[in-house]
Amino acid sequence: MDTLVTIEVRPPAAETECAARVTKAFGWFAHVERLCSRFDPDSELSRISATCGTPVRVSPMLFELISFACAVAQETGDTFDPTVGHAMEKRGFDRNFRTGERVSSELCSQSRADHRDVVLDPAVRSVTLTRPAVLDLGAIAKGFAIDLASRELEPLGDFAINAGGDILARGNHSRGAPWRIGIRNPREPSDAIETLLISDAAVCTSGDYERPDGNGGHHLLDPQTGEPAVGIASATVIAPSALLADALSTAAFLMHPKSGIELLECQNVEGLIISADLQKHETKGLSKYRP
Amino acid sequence: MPKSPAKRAKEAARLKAKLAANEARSQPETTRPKHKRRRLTDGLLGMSSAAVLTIYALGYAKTQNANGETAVASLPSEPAPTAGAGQITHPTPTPAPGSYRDGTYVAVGSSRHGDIEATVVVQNGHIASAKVTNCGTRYPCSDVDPLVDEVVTRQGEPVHYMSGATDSSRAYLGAIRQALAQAK
Repeated sequence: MDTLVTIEVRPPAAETECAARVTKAFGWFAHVERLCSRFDPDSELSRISATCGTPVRVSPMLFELISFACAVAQETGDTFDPTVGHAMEKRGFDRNFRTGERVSSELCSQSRADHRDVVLDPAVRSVTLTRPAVLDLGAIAKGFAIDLASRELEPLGDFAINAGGDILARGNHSRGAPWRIGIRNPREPSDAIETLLISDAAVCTSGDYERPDGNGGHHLLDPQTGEPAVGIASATVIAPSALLADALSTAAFLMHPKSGIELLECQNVEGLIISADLQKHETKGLSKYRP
Repeated sequence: MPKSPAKRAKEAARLKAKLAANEARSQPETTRPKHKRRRLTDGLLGMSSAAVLTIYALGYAKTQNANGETAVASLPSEPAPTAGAGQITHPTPTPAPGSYRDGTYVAVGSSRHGDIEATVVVQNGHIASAKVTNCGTRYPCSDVDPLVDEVVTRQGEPVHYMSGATDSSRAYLGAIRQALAQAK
C-alpha cells in the first residue's frame, strides 16, 4: 500500500498475546494488498481488469470489496467510481512501489467504462466487465484492512491503528481520556486545523497534497473527466468503520463542498471538508468530537 | 525558445479541459449531478460492517485467491513488510502537566522519509522546550514547527495522531512520545 502502518496498544495485554494479535493484524494489510493491488499484474484484481466479457470467479474478499465500491458509486450518483484505474494509469499513477516497475493496460476499446459495467453475480461470486476497464480499489482497500486489523485487536482493549494518516482509535488513550486526533491543515503540513477526541471510530482524510502527479495535480481523479478534482483541499470523515470513512472521504473530496456534506449527513457520519480557499464546511454533529 | 504550434495546441486543449471542469464545479448546486437520495436497505455503514464481519469470520486462509494462486495457509510470522515498518508501541501514560522529571531527554522518531531527533528540556517539572535537534528527513524539518510550539503550550503530546499527516510530523510526534516517556 506504499504507506507506513503503526499499531499502538494500551495498556498492553499479556505480552505474548499482544504480539501475536498485532502480528496477525499486520498480516491483514499484506493480505488485502496481495489481492487488491492494481500494480501487480498477478493480483486477483488485475486478472479481472485483464478480462472483458467473461465472468471471473473471485475470492470472497475481493467480491465484498468490489460490491462495496459499486454500492458507493451508486449512492454517490457516479461521483465515486472503481473503474477509474485506467485514468489513474494515464496520469502516471502506474508504478509498483515495491518493484519500481510500471504497469500499462492496453484496453481493447476506447469507450469509457463506468461502475455499471461491473456486473456482480453473488450466486457464483463472479465479476464480469461488460466494457474494458481497469479497476482501482485504492480508495477503500486501506480502510478495509484497518477494519480487519481492528477485529483482530479487539480483545486487547484500547488501541489505535494509523495507516498513512487514516486512523482507527478504539477505547481510550489513557485514564478514560479519548484519543486526541488532529486533522492536518492542508496547507501547513504539521499544523492541526482541528483536534478531535475520538473513541471507537475511524478518521480518514483525503487531501490534494498527497501523492502529487508531478504536473501540479494529485491522485484524486474525477471519474467523469479523468482529471484531478478541483475545489477541495481535504475531506475528513469520522465513521464507525474505516472502510466507510475511507470511501466517503474520497467521494466527498470529488464533490462540491455542500454536496459532500449532504452526502455525509445522509450516510449518518460526521465530517469536515476544507475547500481550496480554506473555508471549512462541516456536518451538524462534528462538534460533539471537539474537546 | 518559442513553443511549436503542436505544443501550443496541446496546452490550449489541456487548459480548455481544465476550465470546463472548473466551470462544471462552479455551477449552481441545482444544475450539477447530486448523489442519489435513495438509500441502500442498510446504508453503506451496514454494508461495510457486514463485509468486514464476513471476511474476518472466514479467516485469513479462506479469503485467498479464488483459484488458489495465492498460497496463504497461515499468517506470516513477521509483520508484513508491505505494510511498512510495523512496531508495537508500549504504553506511555500521559503525566499531568508539571509532573515531568527535570532533565534533558533525547529521542528519535522514524518515518518512511527519514528520522527526526527531538530534545525535550524539562525545568521545574514543566516542558521548557521540545526542539528538533537532528533532521534526517527528505523534507525540511521546519514543517513540524507548529507542533514544536504545541508541545510546550500543551505541556505534552499535542495530538496522538494526525489524520492526513505528513511523514515528518509522524516522526516528530514519535520522538516526543519517547522523550516524554523517559521524563515521566
